Amino acid sequence: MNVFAVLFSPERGFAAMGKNPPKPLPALFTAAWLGLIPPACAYAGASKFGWRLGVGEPVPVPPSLALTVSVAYYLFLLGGFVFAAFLMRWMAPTYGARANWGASAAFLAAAGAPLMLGGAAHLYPHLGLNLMLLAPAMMWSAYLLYSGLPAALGTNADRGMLMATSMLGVFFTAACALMTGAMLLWTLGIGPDIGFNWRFSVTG
Amino acid sequence: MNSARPNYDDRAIAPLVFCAMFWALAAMGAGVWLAAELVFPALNFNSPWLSFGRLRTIHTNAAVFGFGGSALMAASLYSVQRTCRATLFAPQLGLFVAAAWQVILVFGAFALLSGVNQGKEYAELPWIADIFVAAVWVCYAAVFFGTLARRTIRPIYVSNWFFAAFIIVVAMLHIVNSLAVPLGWGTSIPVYAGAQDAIVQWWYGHNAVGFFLTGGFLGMMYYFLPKITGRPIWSYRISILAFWSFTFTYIWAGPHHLHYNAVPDWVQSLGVAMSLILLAPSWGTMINGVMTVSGAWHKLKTEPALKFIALSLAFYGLATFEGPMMAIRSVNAISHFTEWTIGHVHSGALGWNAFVAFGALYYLAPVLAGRPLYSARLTNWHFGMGLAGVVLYMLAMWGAGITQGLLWLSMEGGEPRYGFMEILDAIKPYYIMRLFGGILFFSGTALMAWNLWKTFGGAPVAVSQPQLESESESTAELKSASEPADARAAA
Repeated sequence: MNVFAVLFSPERGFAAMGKNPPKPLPALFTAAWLGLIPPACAYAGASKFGWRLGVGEPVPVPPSLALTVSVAYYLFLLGGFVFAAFLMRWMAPTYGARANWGASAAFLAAAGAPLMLGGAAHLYPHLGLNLMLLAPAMMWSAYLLYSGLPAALGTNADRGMLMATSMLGVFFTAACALMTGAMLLWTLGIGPDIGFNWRFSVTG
Repeated sequence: MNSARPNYDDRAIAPLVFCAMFWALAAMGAGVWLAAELVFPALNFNSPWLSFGRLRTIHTNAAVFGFGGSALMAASLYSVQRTCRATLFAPQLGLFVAAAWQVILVFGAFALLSGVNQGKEYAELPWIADIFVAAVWVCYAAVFFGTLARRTIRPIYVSNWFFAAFIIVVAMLHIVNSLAVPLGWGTSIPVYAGAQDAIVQWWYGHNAVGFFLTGGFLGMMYYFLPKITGRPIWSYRISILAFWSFTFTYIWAGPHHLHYNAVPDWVQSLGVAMSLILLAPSWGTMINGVMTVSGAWHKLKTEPALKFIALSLAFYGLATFEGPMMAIRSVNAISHFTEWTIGHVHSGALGWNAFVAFGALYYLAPVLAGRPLYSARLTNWHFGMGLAGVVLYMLAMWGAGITQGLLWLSMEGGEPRYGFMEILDAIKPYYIMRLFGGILFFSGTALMAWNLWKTFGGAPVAVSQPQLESESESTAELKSASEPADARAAA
């Protein structure tokens, strides 16, 4: 499956994807290597430059810790991808789209490609730089989600728009759940030392 | 059932639509200016009238009571007549309510800009304005419930349940929270002391969000969605179940605004429990809406309002998930007082409230003007800019909020590791991103205002009145909006 065909010529790329839906395994393989970009860059950036919280000196990150965090990041990305593909396949009949693992996974990999490529910004963990690169990458992905879904999953433009909107809602809710989960872990003492323990008293 | 169509009185509706647009522009314009002030503080020009504290109250009051309030009054007074098959009760009083509400808003705006402020969130207006608000609200209730009492259809359609709860509960909240001892024309002290005042204030504040921005707007959604799609609500049973569980649960959730404060622990825990329970009716409503829209996809081409309502449901789902999560105390320990809260409010206010109101206004304007919408292309641009704007805004505030929460809690030797100004500097890139998001959303709204203005005034009549009448009285109107039995059957 050729992701770059979709990036440079979305209409033709998604139409081809709709005509010959890729098999699930090649789609998963594509997602697996695309998903490697953000954690690999995050590993390189964090171990070379440390974490920059946006204030004070960068926090040095030992390579072993950077590796653990990056592997967890990668597993979360892959898990999220499989979950989203599952949801897309589950949702498809409601919107008259093709309920097919391969088609759902391939479409998600292609639409998410700009975001994954934008993950190269992690090479230099500077907040402003990451925002500048990831915000347009996200817009590009959202554009591909809305414009490509009907052709890739074999539904009409109107139903595709509704399905894309539902998926957008799912993505934001999942992002919110991840943030909340992270907060819960931090206050339980797992993760960065935030000077605050689960009994809600100040430490340090 | 009496099938004769009564003469509906819509004289108050079109002015309210215009006022809603005016206040939307005022609120969002003030919001953009405030976002710019946070990036370039010199933009307050050292004038107290342009200071952040004063402009912010204009922003919130114009958004909630100006834009939201005017749109809700227009939607409720329009829909209650159709769903009851009855003409408006005391239409002159309806006109008075529409006009008096605007007079109060303008008076309130001048009071807030000149620094007269009670210091209570969403209840900043001086005590004298509070009395007029209560009086006008009672008149509004008389018009709405008077029309409901005149109904020629026995069942009360679900949108009217939501509008009724909105009117009754907001009256109760406003009167109880505004009880104060006046010290002068512009100053007063609340009758409650200390923690009690805080509990009453957040009982009011949270339920202003609950019954004004959620209950009222759900009434709007439950009327306009079946109307635009031309099909009944997917499950009428769920809508009624969601109404009662929503009404019972929401009223208890306010204490989650007061975590780690001088409020008893059990009150905080009750607030958390009720907030989590709220997820069920909220998502029931969202699923009901999404399934109704999904069966009416073919209407997207001809009904520009529909895509706004479809998107609003996605944001409704997100905001009603995010709220309960932020109410959990260990999450709140990090998120409280940070920009994450601002992001949460705006994903609800822009993504849900504004979009569902835009849908209602895009529907109402052509029907009231007797002309087709001026430009479908402008509507599409508005949709795209609004979506991009709210997404940028929300993501920026998520990033800023987590950064703030982490840095504020970083300690070294029992002292905060970073200074307040250092942290403010760290989140500046997010403030710039939020400013862009706000400008996009405001520009989209300006396009809509232009589109509706031209719809009302500029373009020649291209569609005959009877055609529009038949459109507005399409099968959806009473088949789905006033006959729950039909809706139940369809479900």
